[in-house]
Amino acid sequence: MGVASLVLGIIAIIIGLFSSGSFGWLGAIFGIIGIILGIQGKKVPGQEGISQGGLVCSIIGTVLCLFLFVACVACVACIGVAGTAGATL
Amino acid sequence: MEGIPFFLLRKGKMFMGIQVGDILIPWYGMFIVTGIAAGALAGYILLRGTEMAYDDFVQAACFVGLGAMVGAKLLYLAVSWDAIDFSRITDPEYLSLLMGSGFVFYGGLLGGLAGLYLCGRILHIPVLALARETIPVIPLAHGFGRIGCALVGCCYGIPYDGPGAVVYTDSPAAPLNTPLFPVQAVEAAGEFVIAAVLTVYIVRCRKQGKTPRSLGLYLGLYAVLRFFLEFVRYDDHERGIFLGISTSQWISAAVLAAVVLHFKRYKKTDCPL
Repeated sequence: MGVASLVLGIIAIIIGLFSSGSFGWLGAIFGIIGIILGIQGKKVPGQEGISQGGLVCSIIGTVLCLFLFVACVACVACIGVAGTAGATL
Repeated sequence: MEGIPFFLLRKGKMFMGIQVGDILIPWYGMFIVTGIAAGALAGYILLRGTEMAYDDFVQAACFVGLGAMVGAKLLYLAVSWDAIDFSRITDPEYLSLLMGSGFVFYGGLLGGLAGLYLCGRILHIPVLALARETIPVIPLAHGFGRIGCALVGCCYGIPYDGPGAVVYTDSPAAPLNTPLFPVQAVEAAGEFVIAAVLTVYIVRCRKQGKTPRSLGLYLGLYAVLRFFLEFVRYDDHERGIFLGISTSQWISAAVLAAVVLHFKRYKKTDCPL
């Protein structure tokens, strides 16, 4: 579980750093699952260290991914704007 | 910068957030993270003096978060069904915009409750007792989210020219250059008041050795707040209107009725919520 947490945390950080605007929602899901696995892993003897690392990476990744969320409800309008621009770009 | 929607990158425009170098951090995301941090701190403080573990709280919060994301998105897709361009659903940019924004709180609340139930089943954590003690965390985090809405201009209010009216000059959602009722700020204030009331109630129950009925109290208080604030919201095309009132008002009325019935049923006995 510690390794899974670390992997998910690193993926979440990568998504958060490089494509959060597009896949932040996916990175946040990975990060949150990584946090759960990290806490569970801390209870397994011998996995405390890697689980702690996974937990920290997952928290950082989740925060990075959530930072670039745009709005809660309004983005039907945003999607319309993006669609228009996408057609012209 | 690759992958960030183009409307975040209009240099010199501060309508969506604050500019840090070439990157614009949206207000909404910033306040969501602030709300989560405040909730984590509040959860830590609320659990002091109880025998419950903070790790359990974090895991339960993660399950609630996952359930809330799924539920909020599903309800948003349901109420915005007509506005979605399904011919572009395979376009990655369109899909990411659709998935990365657009959440309805009541969907999140129902999804969060489902997540809490799953957490109890999978991890064998006493989630109900945990939720009773830490429920003020939800309105606290939600209140910060509403401040994000107020700054970006989503979930906007009706045209209004009185005290406190806000005028958006550059918002991707709200009508521009029109004085609007600051419904998001009013809801944020209401959420903070609910969080404070719940905290006082929980602490008082703890001192008296009673089990707090805080879940039902929260659901009831928020349902009343939301039902009335929906009348001064103006983003009708995004909320879904049925028989003259919005989806959230229908859900508020149903939640309030369920809470009243629940409290009547468990008036003199131990109340599960």
